[in-house]
Amino acid sequence: MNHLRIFIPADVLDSYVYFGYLFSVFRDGTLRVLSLHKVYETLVSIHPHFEGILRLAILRNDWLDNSQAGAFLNIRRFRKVLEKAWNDFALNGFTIEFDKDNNWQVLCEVPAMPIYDIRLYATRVYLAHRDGVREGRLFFNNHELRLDGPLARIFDTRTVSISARSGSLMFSADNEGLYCGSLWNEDKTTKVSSRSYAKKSLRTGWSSFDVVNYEKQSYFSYLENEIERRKARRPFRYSEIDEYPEKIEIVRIAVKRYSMDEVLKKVPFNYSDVQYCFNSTTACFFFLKDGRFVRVNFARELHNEVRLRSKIHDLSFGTQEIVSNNPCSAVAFPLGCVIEYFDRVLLFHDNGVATLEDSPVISVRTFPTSRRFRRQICITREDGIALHTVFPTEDEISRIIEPNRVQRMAGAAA
Amino acid sequence: MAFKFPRSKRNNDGTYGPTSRNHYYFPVSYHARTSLKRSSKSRWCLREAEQFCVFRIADEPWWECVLNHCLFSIVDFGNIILGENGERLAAFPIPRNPNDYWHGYPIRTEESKPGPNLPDRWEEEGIITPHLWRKIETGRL
Repeated sequence: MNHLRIFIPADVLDSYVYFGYLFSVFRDGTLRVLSLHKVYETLVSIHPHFEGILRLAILRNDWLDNSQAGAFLNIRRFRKVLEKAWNDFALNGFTIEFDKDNNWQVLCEVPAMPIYDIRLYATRVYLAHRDGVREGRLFFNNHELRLDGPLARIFDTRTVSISARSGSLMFSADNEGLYCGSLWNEDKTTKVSSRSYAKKSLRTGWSSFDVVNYEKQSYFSYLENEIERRKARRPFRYSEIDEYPEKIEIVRIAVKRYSMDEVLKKVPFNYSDVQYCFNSTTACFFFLKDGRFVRVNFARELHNEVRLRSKIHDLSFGTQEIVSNNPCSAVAFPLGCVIEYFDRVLLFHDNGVATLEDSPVISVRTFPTSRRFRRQICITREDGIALHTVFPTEDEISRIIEPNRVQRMAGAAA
Repeated sequence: MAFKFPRSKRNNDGTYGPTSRNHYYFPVSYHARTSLKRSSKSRWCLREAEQFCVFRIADEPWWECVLNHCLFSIVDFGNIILGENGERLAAFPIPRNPNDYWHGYPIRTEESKPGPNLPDRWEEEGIITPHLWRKIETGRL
């Protein structure tokens, strides 16, 4: 599989790519940033002939899968040459060192260490840790990135995971429950409700504007939310170049609840067969106890009842031995997913499986809603950060070229 | 190099030990790898003597979690799988009477995990590394 790996040695606990920067929490208790442009320039100075590929891989993933890219990649010869150059260049990967004090800019000291999760959303940074959640507003201009004031504590319950959509943030507080924060307020900071929406939450996923709450790694409940389209100006700011702005506000969380049994009503297995599950916005992924790894798409019935379709897509690709192990975490990736096992990280993509890392890692992140970094996978290891960029597959290219045709074909097949 | 469990001998009464703290381990049947599957009971994938070794690893340095009132154990940086469902941690509840035998079972951290002090201590003492610390604390192990 065509993925280009850039490794940056660093003593970090977690990392996140946002607004052209790599945000990292270092073990010395500092939150630091490294400009991806600096990574690009340094690599170009070593490999000047591959400037174009490096630009695509590090700075502009959107140029690999937007409609303009489709026009070029539709030229078969052009695609072959580009893919070959990408593969040749990606063969061995790159390790590039940056001095912690001279190249990594310190944004702030992290008041409570260590951290459980980091999330960048709507030009803010959120850090989850044992004492709760801290938030900092980012200030950008052309030459400067800094925090607009110190980190503010917005939530004081131990939080293990954060997810965000449409101005709402879900804070998973393990046995303490699930809490929601909103940016749709006139205050400078995120307002977190004191109400818990679930008894337990290890993590959450989004399906459109609804929340999928994982009470166990193998069990979820589906929370349907009420939304409203806002005409007034948003009280918060998205990153103009990396996030798609939304004018929809989630006004009520968990208007309806569906148990996993209800969602799986038409699927030919039940929750006791599931070993691990996660979701993307359109589908649920299940690792079953019989060694299969399957995808099932969401469907909405006439009366708006949430359920999964009955058709199962097998993603095991003949790797039952690998997928029968218990995953530690999993994240969705365009037309695929990235699975973290105890001792390796695998990419399931293009009807195949590729090993991204072959040793234990701290965290795996993808950015499917980002404009420029949607093909990047940021893996934090104990010895540094590995940035992987995946070249579009044949299937993806055909979807880019003729999205309507693919939809028509899918409709006909269904 | 792959971890090897040291040999241990079973006593006449079915227990193993004693450890240096004079504790005896008794492998209960419903957690054994050959027992009937029950949804509420996890099963070891280790032999009895190996279970005792896992217990001794926790007992001698006294890896107690006050919150759960039990000892937790982890072997070789979590590289050894202890339970049939891929569990890499084990819990040993502290007996109500000091002279009672100990028993234990493999656990997944999504259901039960040590309070924060124990993983912190493990990391300080080099028993676990940061990736394991994060996995234990966030219920991913």
